Amino acid sequence: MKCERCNKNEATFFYEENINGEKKKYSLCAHCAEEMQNSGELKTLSSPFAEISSSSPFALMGDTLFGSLFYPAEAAKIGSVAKKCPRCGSTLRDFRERGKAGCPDCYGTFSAELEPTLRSMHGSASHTGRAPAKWKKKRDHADRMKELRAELNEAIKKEEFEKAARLRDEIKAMNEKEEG
Amino acid sequence: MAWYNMTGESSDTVISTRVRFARNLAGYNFDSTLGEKEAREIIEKISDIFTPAMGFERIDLNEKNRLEALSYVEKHFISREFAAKKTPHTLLLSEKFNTAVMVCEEDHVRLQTILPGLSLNEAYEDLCRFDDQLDSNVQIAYDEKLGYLTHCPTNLGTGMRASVMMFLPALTMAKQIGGIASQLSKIGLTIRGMYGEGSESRGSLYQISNQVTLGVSEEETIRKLSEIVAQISNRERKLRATLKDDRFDALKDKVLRAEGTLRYAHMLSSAETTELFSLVRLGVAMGIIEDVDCAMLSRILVETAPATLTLTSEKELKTDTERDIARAEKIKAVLPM
Ligand SMILES: [Zn+2]
Ligand SMILES: [Zn+2]
Repeated sequence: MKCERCNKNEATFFYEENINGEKKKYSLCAHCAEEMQNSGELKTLSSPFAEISSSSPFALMGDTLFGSLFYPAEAAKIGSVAKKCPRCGSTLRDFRERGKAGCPDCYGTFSAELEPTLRSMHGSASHTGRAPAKWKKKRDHADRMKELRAELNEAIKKEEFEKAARLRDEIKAMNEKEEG
Repeated sequence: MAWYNMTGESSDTVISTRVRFARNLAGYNFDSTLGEKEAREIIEKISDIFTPAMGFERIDLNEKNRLEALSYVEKHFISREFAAKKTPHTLLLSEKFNTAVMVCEEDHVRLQTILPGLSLNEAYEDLCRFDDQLDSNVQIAYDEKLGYLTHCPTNLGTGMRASVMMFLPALTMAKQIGGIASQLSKIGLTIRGMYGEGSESRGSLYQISNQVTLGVSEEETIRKLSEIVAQISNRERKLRATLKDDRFDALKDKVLRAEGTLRYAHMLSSAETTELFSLVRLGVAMGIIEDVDCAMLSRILVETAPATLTLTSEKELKTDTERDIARAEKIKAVLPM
């Protein structure tokens, strides 16, 4: 998408504000965003690109990543800026300036805002691989249940009722084990 | 035995292999918002897991042992950032397992294993054992979707960084490192010069590592990295073979002059040592030099680095001249006469 102000550069900053019902929406390149910021055309001082910290890895990784922290859908919420991590008190701005989370709970608090950044950083936003034993057990259990349910459906479809009954018992036993 | 005293697999193109896991304890803030009292609590908890009985030595790093910390950096056991940290931080080190547990680094715990040569699977498996040990003793910050929760989002997911230190003199001479760099970036890997930034590194030493940690499993990352390192090794070997055919005498002359300087110079700076190291290592790999092995050369690289040299020298080294003389002496002691 091209920057709507200069129509030349790629737009990497998406900004939306909503002041007393008057909505404004911009898709800008880094250069224009900075100019509009300086000229005061972007009214909200809490504008996402108010302070681009060069020490932040997001900034180092280029405008695209940094800009994507503020996707249109989330930008309106950021306008109010008040969202805080209940555990460590970090705001999204703290997170962005540091380039790092304040505590493990920050990831839950800002998950929506972070998702596009994670996608451009890693090409994915969900983990595969090792897990602590406790979580691994849970995951293995869920995987096994999925398998059994698929087998059960297959058995029912093929009218293998004896097999289906056996599978149903197994699923029930596994559920009880998980709860107990 | 410390990694730099051993010769590993593919030692003609690979110096060492390093794998690290970033882990954090549930119920504690991350480093930048962590209080000193909590930091000390974490240090005690982790020190109780990786004990002397398990082969780990506890080293509380502070202003007083700054030089020792820098020496561990030169041995690639710990990160430079960890050595320079102002807030409480402790190293639990097992030279036997070539494994370092950095407590209160950027993340609460960073487990790292370094092995000689190309040894990704072994380093990964060793590390998994230590990670299991950690996991069975403390609650780790983990999320079903995001995986291991780390201070910096760039490490989310596996929290794993696997890196291979490669020795690529022929590819460097042929100016092919830049091309490799752009190919690697497309598949989530990166190449960085060990000494100095930019695409050409002093000593032709490069670190190849994974950049992506989310959505790709540890095993997949290790497999991909192994494959790429093997490919790069083969390209380097082919180029060396052409060098041997086309310009053998010129190369042999250069290599032997480097060996001569390394053996007989009275003073050697750290920069010159790295350059000579590179030529001599190439000479060893190509069979031009026979009585020197890769372990001797790795040892030279580590033991003549500034902090380690100062720390192990019998005399106090105050000036650059004194250091350069001590460095030349150290090299004479390592190389067989
Ligand atoms: Zn523009
Ligand atoms: Zn938080």
